[in-house]
Amino acid sequence: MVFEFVEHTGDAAVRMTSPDAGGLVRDAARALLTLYVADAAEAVDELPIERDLELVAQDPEELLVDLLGELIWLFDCDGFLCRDIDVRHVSFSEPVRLVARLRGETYDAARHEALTEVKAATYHGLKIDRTPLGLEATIVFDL
Amino acid sequence: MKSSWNDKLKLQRINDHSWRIPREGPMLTDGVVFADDHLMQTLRHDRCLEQVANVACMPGIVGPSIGMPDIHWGYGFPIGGVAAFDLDEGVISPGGVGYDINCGVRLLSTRLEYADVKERVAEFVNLLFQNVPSGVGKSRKDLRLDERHFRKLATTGARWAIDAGFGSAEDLDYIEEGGVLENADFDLVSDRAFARGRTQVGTIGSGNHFVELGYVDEIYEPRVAERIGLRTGGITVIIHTGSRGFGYQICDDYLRVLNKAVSRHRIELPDRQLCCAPLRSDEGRSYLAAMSCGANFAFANRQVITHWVRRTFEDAWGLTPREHGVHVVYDVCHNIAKIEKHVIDGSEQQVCVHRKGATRAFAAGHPEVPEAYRDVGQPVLVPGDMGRYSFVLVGNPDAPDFTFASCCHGAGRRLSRKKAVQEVCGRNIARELEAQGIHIAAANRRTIDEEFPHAYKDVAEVVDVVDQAALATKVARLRPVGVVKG
Repeated sequence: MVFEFVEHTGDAAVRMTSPDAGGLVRDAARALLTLYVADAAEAVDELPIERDLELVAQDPEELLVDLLGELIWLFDCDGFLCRDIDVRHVSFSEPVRLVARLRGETYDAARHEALTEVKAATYHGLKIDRTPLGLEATIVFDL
Repeated sequence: MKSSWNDKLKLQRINDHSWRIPREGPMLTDGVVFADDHLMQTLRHDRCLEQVANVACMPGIVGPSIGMPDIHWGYGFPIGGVAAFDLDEGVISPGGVGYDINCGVRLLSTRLEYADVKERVAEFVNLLFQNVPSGVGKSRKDLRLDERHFRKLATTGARWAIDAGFGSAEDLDYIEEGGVLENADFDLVSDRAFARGRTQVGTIGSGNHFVELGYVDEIYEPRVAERIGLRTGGITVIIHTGSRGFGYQICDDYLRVLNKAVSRHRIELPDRQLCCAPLRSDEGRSYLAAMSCGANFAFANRQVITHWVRRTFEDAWGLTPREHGVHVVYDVCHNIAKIEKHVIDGSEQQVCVHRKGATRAFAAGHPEVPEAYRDVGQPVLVPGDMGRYSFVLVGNPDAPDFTFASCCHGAGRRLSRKKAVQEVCGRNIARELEAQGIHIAAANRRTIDEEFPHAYKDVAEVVDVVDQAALATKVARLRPVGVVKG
């Protein structure tokens, strides 16, 4: 699993490369976490909150945008920081579907250094490509 | 997504400050971009010109697809883009409004003189930072709305805020549309949008949003400045924020709806992000009514923040309302779609004007200009970066008809956030600004680095093009002395 932030004048763009669909899903969530808090890369021993998630989409791109939209909504409404995704089932071919357990914690200004708000994950230029390294996608977040 | 016809756009110079992208391929009209030679050099490397051409392909567009001098790449529509659509044949698009529905700017004037309060700016800014929540996850614990009150807010905008005790009824006279879009329908807004917005009333957010204490340092049109309440040395406050998570979620929800509408209504588009629906369709009408709820949230948000700015003057500097005299100069939207009347080819027509990163700029005499300003024109507020200056303009009666009385909205970024942080590298921007007499309070240091002054273009250059192209007339320049950032 690899993701990196790439140059984007207005907002934040992240390029992800992963051998499989599950990896891409986890990378996308981790990239979002990196935008939210400074300690995203640190290992956290205890993740007290678990939430089950099931998404059905028209295509894999929509699945990624919907997943990130859900995580952004959960953060804005409940302060839920998703640190790990246990992917139970993911399919990028018909029917496009994700069944997962989200693991995380509640944002706490005393413990977390917040970085920025995220308005949305966008479809801009989003296309999941198959490459010799696996699946590759670049997603732009509107900040 | 890029199609072959717009790989190499033709760009024809019209005059020193405007350029034409002539109609070709699937374009239904020309594109017109306002820029001088220097700004155009930058724009040529940005895909915003391609986006101006893409917008020109949308059904029912009236007049050209327009780019303002601060234009840059956005989702679907460019930021700094203006396009009007026929009510019968045309479309409405969330991409033409943006995620932050009714992101906008409010300017407050006061009776105070900078010279008198110069030494006490930090006290004001530090208290303002406590009073007006800014940054990630911040909200006022004393302002949590249940659904009944939130519905009222979403349908009556700034009027809700006045009724709830946040300001006086007179404030409404100086807000675009009187602070409310009347066609708002809360039943067309999702529970998710309500849940996301309910705790965010009266908050700034993060990124480029701010509340800024400043003063008038130069006046270009003394008669107009006097009429709108600006005098050299007078303390001012600029509030820049929008509809927060409520608006973002409305946009996100309706992008899904309108993506499906595109195929249902057999609309052909060069870019998926221009997804739209006919203005007369159920989807189009629903988006407009939901978007109006988002716009009303933003009007209410800036009104509530105004109230806390007034309180801060009272608590930080021990002033009475009479002593500080905080008055709303004007409040403009710069991310909005609205049904407006304009003169097109000599006759009056109603159109749906999308302004994304663009400001309405009605000239003197227009009935929607507040009565007190009717003979000078509607104020146009153009904030710059936190180290240099912002500008106040008014609508120009000589503005070209095809611009639908529109103007620029800001400076536009020069550097990405990542590059800005790299360029700052080790410098202490807050301390540098303090040395220049600008006190900053921000939720975190990284925001200050990402937003450091030279991450932005020089707004003076943008405003000069606006002035020369007669889009609006320069009235005054404001200098920042204290900034609260998210």
